[in-house]
Amino acid sequence: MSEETILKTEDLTKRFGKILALDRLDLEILPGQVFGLLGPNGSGKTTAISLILGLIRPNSGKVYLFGEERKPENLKRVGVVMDSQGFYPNYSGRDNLRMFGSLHKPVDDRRVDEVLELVGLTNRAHSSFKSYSMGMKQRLSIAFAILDDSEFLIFDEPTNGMDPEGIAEIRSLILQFAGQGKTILLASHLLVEVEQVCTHLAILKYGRVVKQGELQQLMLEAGRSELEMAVTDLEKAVAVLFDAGYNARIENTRVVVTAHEGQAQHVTAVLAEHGLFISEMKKRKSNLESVFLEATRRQQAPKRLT
Amino acid sequence: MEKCSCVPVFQLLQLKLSKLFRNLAFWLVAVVMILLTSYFVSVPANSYHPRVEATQISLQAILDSIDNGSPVLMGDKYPDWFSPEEYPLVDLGGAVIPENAEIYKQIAHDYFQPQIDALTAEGGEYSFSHLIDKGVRQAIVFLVIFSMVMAVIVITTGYHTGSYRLMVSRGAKRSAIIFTELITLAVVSVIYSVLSTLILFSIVWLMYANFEALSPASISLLQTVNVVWVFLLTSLVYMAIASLIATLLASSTPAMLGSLVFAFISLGLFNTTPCDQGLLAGVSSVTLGYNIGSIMHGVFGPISSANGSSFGGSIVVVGSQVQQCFRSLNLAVPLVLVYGALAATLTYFNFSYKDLKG
Repeated sequence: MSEETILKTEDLTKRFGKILALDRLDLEILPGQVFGLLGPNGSGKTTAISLILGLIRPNSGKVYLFGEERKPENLKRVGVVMDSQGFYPNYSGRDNLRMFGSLHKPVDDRRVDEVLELVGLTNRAHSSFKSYSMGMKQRLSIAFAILDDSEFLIFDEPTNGMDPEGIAEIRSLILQFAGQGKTILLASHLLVEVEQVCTHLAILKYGRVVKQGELQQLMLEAGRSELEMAVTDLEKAVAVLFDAGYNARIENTRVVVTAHEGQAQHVTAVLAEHGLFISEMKKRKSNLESVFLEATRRQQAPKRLT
Repeated sequence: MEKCSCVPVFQLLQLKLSKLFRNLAFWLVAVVMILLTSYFVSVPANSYHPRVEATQISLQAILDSIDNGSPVLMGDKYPDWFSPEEYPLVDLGGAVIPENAEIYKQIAHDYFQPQIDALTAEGGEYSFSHLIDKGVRQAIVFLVIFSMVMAVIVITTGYHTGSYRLMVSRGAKRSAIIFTELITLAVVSVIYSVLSTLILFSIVWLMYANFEALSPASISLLQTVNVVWVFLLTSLVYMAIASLIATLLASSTPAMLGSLVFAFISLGLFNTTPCDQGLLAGVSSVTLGYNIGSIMHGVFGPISSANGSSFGGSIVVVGSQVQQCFRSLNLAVPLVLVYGALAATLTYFNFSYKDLKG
């Protein structure tokens, strides 16, 4: 294992009774990566993060952080944003940061104010945590995660239950951290979120990784490119292209043909031979949805252990 | 040797104590405990005035009958020097002889007044020290219940709010977290024990001040120390057991129910001994309740009822054998300490290996 590796899991497996929540998870996250853990609810994302942080114990497998087996000491270099924030409800946001922030070392009040400002909570810093909205609680959680300027940040469904404005703010913050060169693990069931933010991806379903790799590469592999064009006679164009060996269909007022960029000239020529002229043509970008659907389509639910 | 850079226990303890004193439940439990202890500790003393009045009514009835010249039947209660034949109450004409009537009245006074004085005299049923001994048995019930309630609140709040998850994910060692929780509970235990002792002595003092007692209320240092250590030991052990229940169930409502059920069964076993009959009596000697009961029996004496008779005595005679009903202090105290240590150790290990689910 490279000393540069931020996180590595080996064969990480967790069962809750008869339910196999996570099945032999192997992940490796390198410095600077924004790694997405994508999967539907119940796919094992939170279980994976809980195992990484030592909140629950694996049935088998190991977790390595910063090149060594996970121990409480190296968790101090990790900032975490989880669904259950754990702050004391009767304390103000600022006091919560000061108290929990002082677990390792004396807290720097200026730094507390700095992170509160960064997440936009300065005005409500002295209000009790229980009076915060869901979005404010999440922002305080982020403030806590970055309080010690941690080099590795873990976000577990950071935009859950938030309004669109809050979601945009959180995503913008994550992008900001990524821009600062921090390594990020983002667990989410939102395709858009992962697509906007992540550089690398692992897709989980029923506790298993069904696809893993660099996001762009996965999208290229999954989606053979498609060309979208405006043609005079849509039905005739589809028939002509089909005869020429292309897979084509009509979508709204356009013809969509499965072909890569280099085939555009040939497609144009084939249509022109039959008196069909293209007024507009563009390459359709394949999206994460197609990657996700492709990866998860054939994945069956594991049988319960007996 | 590599220096441990883990989260210092001191920091966690500071965090826990700071939270404890801002926790409304801590103060609410303390107030309810004070109110209930105050009320029930005062109950045994409430029967003092009716007892005195009943005695005074009997005396007055005798004085009236003396004034009316009726013969006073006091059986063998006359003093040795007195003989009714030598001191006739009425003359041959049926008139009351005043000098003799005064003697009769004095004898009646001398008979009844000591009975009243004996109630509050040292060793009497309403003596200050005896009222404290009785009060301990009332106060300890609430101390047990509220110690368990508070332990469940302290432990399960960490699960409920997710603060255990936050601390562990922040690099705090589980062993350090549960250690500080147990220390926090020990602090609560000290506070509640001292509070219960103060309430007990204050209420009994106030009640005693209303008695027409010849001897003033005097607080014995030994008795005070005994009350404090019995309260503290009891509170600590029951808190340790409630902590174990709370970490096992990791949820407020089931843990609270489980702890209260344990508390009530255990309190019922305080006075259940192998000398009694029934299923629980057979197994009582291995229970925590019986051993705490034995400590109270050993330190504060047998339990007395309102009319002065005792039950739950130290020994019973079965056939030709003398059976010890309560365990000796020398054995009961170490056993209670073992129960407490066992519960604390199991809590520690259970928390250290338990999954902290979100």
